[in-house]
Amino acid sequence: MIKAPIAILFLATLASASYPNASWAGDDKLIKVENAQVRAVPAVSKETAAFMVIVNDSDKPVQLVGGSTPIAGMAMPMITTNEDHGGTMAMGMKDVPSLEVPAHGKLELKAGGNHLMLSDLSSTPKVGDKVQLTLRFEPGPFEITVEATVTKD
Amino acid sequence: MQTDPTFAPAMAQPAGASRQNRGVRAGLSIAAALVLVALVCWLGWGRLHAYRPFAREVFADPKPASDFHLTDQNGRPLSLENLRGKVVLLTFGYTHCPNICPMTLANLNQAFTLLKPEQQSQVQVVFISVDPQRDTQAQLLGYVPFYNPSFLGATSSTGEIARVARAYGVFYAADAPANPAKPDSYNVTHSAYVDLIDKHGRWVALYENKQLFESAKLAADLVYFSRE
Repeated sequence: MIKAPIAILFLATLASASYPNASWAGDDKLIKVENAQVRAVPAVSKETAAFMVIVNDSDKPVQLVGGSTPIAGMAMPMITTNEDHGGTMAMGMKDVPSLEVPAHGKLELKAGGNHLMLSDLSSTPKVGDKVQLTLRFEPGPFEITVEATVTKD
Repeated sequence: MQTDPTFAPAMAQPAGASRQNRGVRAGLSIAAALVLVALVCWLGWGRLHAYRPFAREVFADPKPASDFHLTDQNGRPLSLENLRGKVVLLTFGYTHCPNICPMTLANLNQAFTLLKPEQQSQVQVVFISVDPQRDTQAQLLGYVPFYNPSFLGATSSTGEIARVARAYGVFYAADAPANPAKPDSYNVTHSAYVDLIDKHGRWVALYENKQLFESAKLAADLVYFSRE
């Protein structure tokens, strides 16, 4: 009697959890971007960074693979490195193909850590400005557009 | 019942004297103990309440800080000798730095802003470029004062930067261009410590970059070192 609904439920769960070729079925409502910020820089700077928290409420990890914004030529996911160079620690950055947002987890992009580098700035973001930021994710690919606030600190 | 009058005083006399002596001795030992306790407390209190700088490293035997001869964003010569009497916060970076350097300078500004004007006049932030090729005087002028008008940027067209970096244990190296089509789109990997040079020109402390987020503690260190 109650076996059939359970089986249907089980199949439905199975179906929703196993996307063919691991492609994203477009449930991007489960991916949320919080507290998006772009760091204010002086006019001579042609690069800055965007920070945010990306929350993944789904059962599958997603990858932030890039993005775009009207104010910059490029938006690249970067990691911050702190490596030993002959006994001296030095900080640097490395562009990475993607940054993972784990299933039921979050990815924090923050000052001094992983970030989205915006380079070839075409205009100077000023404190308080809103900057449109489109983030591209895989599998999918799918995009999320947010308004990032320009902050100085 | 009556006690023997001849007996009782005879017994009472020495007993009383010894009790008195014992009292004096006890009083003295208590006083001595109190003095000792007070001394220990005072010393311990002093130790506990002596200011302990927040810097990651405070050198026990600070050496004279290596001087330099660079040019600031206004085209003026900049050397440590000219800054004697001020606490100098020395940091190395480059103006095309998208993440670390803006964070470093913004954090230093936060701490600096917590100081009273008379304390601010005792502190000088110096940002030495590790990318002199792109960081011209004009570039520094557009960059460093954005974070704080009193901060100084420094560059050089000679080999001075390499020498100064070595003297402060700073590593730096240009990476491959981020955009292969643009040779000028390189980032620079560099040490991101902040060195503190006291007003006598001694290199006394070193901050880890992430410590700079704690502006209040950094400001307290600056006040402390301004007095030393």
